[in-house]
Amino acid sequence: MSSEFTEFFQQLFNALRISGVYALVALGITVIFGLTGIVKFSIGELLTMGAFLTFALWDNTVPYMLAIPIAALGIGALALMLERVAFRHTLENPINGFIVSLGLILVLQNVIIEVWGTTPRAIPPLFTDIWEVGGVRMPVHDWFIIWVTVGLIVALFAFLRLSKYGRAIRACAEDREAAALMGIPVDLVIAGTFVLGGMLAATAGGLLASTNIVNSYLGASFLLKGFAVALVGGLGNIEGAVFAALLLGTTETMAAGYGDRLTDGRLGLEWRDAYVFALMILVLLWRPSGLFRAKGRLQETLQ
Amino acid sequence: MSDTLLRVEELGKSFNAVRAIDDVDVQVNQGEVLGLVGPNGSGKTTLFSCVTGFVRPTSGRVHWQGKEITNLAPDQIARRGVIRTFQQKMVFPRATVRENLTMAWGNRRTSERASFTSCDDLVSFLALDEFEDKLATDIPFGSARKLGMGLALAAGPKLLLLDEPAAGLNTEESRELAELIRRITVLGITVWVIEHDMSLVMSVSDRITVLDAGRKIAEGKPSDIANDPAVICVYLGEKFAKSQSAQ
Amino acid sequence: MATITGRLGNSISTRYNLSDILGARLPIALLLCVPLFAPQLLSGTRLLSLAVTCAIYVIVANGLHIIFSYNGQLSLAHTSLWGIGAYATALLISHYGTPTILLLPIAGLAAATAAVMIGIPAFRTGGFSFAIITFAFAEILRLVANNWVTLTNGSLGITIFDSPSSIGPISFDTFNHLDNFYYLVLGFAYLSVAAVWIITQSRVGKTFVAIRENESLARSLGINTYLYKLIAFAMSGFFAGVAGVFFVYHQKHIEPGPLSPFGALYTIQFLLMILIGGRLSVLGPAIGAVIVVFGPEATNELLALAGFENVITFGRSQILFGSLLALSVLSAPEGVVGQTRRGYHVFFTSIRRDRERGHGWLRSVLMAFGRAVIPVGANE
Repeated sequence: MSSEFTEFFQQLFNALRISGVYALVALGITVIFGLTGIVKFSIGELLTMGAFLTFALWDNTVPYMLAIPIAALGIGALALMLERVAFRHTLENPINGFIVSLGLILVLQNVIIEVWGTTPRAIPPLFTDIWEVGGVRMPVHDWFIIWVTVGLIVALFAFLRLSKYGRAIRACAEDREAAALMGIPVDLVIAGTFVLGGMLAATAGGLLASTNIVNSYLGASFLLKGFAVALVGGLGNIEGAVFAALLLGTTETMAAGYGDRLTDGRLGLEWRDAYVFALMILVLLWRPSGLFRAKGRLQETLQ
Repeated sequence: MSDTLLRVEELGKSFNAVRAIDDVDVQVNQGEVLGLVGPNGSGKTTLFSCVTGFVRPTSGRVHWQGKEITNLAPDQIARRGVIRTFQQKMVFPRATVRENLTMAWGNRRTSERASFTSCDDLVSFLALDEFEDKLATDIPFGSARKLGMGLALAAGPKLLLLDEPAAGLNTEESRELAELIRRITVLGITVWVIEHDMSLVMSVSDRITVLDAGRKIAEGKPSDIANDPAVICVYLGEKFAKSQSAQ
Repeated sequence: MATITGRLGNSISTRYNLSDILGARLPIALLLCVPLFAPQLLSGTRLLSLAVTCAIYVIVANGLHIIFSYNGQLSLAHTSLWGIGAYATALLISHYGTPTILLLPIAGLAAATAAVMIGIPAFRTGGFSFAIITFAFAEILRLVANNWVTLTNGSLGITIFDSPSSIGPISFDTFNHLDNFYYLVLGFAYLSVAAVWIITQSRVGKTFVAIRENESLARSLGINTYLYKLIAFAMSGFFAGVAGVFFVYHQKHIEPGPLSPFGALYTIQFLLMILIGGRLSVLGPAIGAVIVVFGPEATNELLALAGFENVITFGRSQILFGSLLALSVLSAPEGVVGQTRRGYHVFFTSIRRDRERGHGWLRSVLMAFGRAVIPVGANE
């Protein structure tokens, strides 16, 4: 294969892996927002905690593949507690929920530092082989991550679109009062959604533990990207979130990669985030509610 | 023949699959009171929102005093003299009646010669003197409605769009409202009013337009509309309409 | 959510109750004089330096107050505007040695211009989208500061050694005359509070509030809300830019790190100050700034007296403040100032009622005090 093709597919592959993680975070965000209108900024910290927890478990001889779900459950429990204690009271006024989440960022981030200190951690990849096809270098571990995220996303879609619980969630998102009248336990649904969001973020964190350096700033860097993806896809729209994740992930890797080459390193890889944000700003200016129709409690909070 | 102030041509608005307004043509002439009626969901408020720029029409055009205003921003349209009221959230809640009016009055940008010399003038015109220093949330609903209209008046309209001003008012308050509308027209302001209260609309309007499911089904003088079988059909059902016309 | 009681509220005009005048104006006036004695009251350079930092924060917070509390737009780019003012200052000093008297307006205008440039696209959306777009711009600015090495020296940042130019014999050298420097910054802090007050009294300021209260209504009356939001944003940027000048003089250094004005940490800090101090009053941000800066300090001093050394580290104080933020939103949405106002209102009305019922002065006052201090719900 010519080197142009190689380069292109290489970037594409890199994009896939990143997009998967973005999709997980964005889905967590969008599912919570779609149901309650609350913008949960503290989800970034849940991601960080998921990463640290996964590391802590792995460090104590729990196999990586088991550590991730256990950590996710732990963070899910934390998310439940936060919902019961704090977010539940802000349902009437989602802006307050946002501010509460800002306060929680301070709390959670510093709890992380208190518990785990400031030394960065990392989990070595599960697979060290690199599969090479036509010059494109694809670490097997990255494929592993990709398949795990794809699997999770498919499972999530199946859950939300096909199961009884998924239908309950969508009913509550459409019209809370009507859902309650139909006998759906709205309280439980909302609590469950927060747990779901937390677990998605924690899983993303757990996966990131083996590809990125884990420190207390990990969540912050994925938070904004996660929100960018969720917004571009249309808040509350899960298909939109996945599409936007692919779009933004690809843009990030492609633009950064080609930008670096085309400008001889003047616009190097350190600008990768800027491309994503610029794209997000452009998309939002063109379509303020995202590329796809936003679902759920959109109107009250956006305008 | 009075001038046409506002011309709505082939206006259409769809929200995804729902066609809220379908090929509607309306004209509002200088100095008249035009009524807009129709069953719930017939698109009356959407029509107002399209005309005043709060909603972007999917098709069609709106002309004001000869110039097209179809896709302008709401505040731009308001500054040209087309001012609407709201059915809900129609006042600034955490401010007194006087402060509310001062806000609208102070930001008045239309080129209309002021109908009122001062805010006090306006307060008396609206008969809201007793509530002048009360918070907008603490006054009776009917008075809050009047305040909403007062805000629109303070902004200097040439054409005033009233969105169901009588909703929630009792008979006495409705009568006061009709009187208020009459006094507004005396000032030279043209009025276009959406209303459900048939007797009110019949009594204040010079002409009435009837909408149903987004389409215009009738237009004319109040007496003509009252006897129009299509209109009766829409409100009271086909059988009744048939029995009426059989008489 | 609580409604506003008393009429010192952040409504379209301001009104004063007799009880508020008697009860509140005097203590407030006294309170405002306290910072004048900081150099005497605070022992040691470290504490005085903290006071300078606090004064700088007051200026920044007052800027955010205009766009967030009064105009109702949640901007997450505010601290980046502060950073722009700081960079403008550092660059001008190191390349041209610009005098202080010019730096202040230039930095202010630079930040205001940046605010307008961000606002032009950002205000085309509203609510939450606006917040995220401003956050994105903040990140982009940080990346620019970090990566445009030829201009900003990248992650190393810029270091200067200057202090504000002397006025006659009065030197503002931050090493030898920190108290003079403190008074300089304090003066501007007072100015920023006064400026906010003037803005709230003006028609422009009241229009900001109208836009916050009911934007559709404002638009329907012909108010160009887009323009007003840009104006509010520019004003807030100007405050931030000016604060940036003092920041650089004080720290002697600016860089785009995570703990710098370009980092996310500061963004939440200023929201914290406003929400804790009180979103609905002119003094809210100032009080919030004092609480955030000196609260942990004072607590540590008290605990040290009891033998516990340095209990409140930065991390722990953040945990406390974060919880306080969450709690205050949930139960005391008007912050310290709001609760104090409510307290005064309750205090005086309670005394009046008890006296009307024929109770003696002592009992009335004691009961009133109890009722005022215990926050029995924020909904009245």
